[in-house]
Amino acid sequence: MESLKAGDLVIEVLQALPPEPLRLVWRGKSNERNPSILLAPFFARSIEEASQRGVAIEMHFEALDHFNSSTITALIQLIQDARRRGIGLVIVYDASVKWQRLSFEALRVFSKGDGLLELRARAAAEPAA
Amino acid sequence: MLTLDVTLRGDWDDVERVRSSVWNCVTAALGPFDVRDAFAMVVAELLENAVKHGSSNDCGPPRLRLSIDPLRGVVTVRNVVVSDRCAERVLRSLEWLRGFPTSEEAYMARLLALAECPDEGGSGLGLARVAYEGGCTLSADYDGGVLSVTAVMDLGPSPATARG
Repeated sequence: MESLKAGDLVIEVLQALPPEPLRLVWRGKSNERNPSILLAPFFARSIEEASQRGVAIEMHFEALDHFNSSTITALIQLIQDARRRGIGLVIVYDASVKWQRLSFEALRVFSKGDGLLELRARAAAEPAA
Repeated sequence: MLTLDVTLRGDWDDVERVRSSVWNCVTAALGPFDVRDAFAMVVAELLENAVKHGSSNDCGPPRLRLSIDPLRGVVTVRNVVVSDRCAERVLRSLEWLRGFPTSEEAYMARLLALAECPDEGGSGLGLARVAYEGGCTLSADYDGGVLSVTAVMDLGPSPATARG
């Protein structure tokens, strides 16, 4: 599966052997007018890939500088689609950056007892898993 | 301490240009605090709304005014809208936000509503985000086809204390 590069945004795909998750690392800025046009097909491929491998998706936002609210709308759709397919989704963010802490902690509203959505706070100094 | 007054052309790419400029200006004026991210986000969300729903003809490009003093920051985006309906949607969104005890509750309610209706246009999530993540009090004025949306951010005794 190929990484996504569009405008100011790069989502790097890091694939490892199962049971390691499919890691998607966001960098730059997501500021497209309609980011869902780019992100929805990419997310669909990610879900398909994770499903075939039988692994979770781990999305890293620590290196993301900014995203707009339309990107948040696309992420909500990903959360819904992953849950429908029974794919675990881990969202990793930098808790030492206020905008990331506020934005991602709010997504706990989508956490349910099924354990399919995990919000993982990481301080900038912590090494990646 | 910091004042910006910019009339944009109304191009989508200008939003990012102004957002990053505001981030840099606030950094230069106040220092490398989280509040610079908040101002940049507030400016971007309000400008995105203005470009999406505003008129881009010669009489109505969006105008941004930003002023920051030691106690508060004020962001105002003013633009001609393409229809009364656009302005009414913004005014309704602000009224809806005011119906919640906290901006966090309003924001989360908006997230849940979007999960139910993902294709909802003019979702109001940007305004809810300005209130919640930006910690802003929002108001709007609509007169003669011109919509002005203002976000006020209390900074407390000094910007450094607002970094959270």
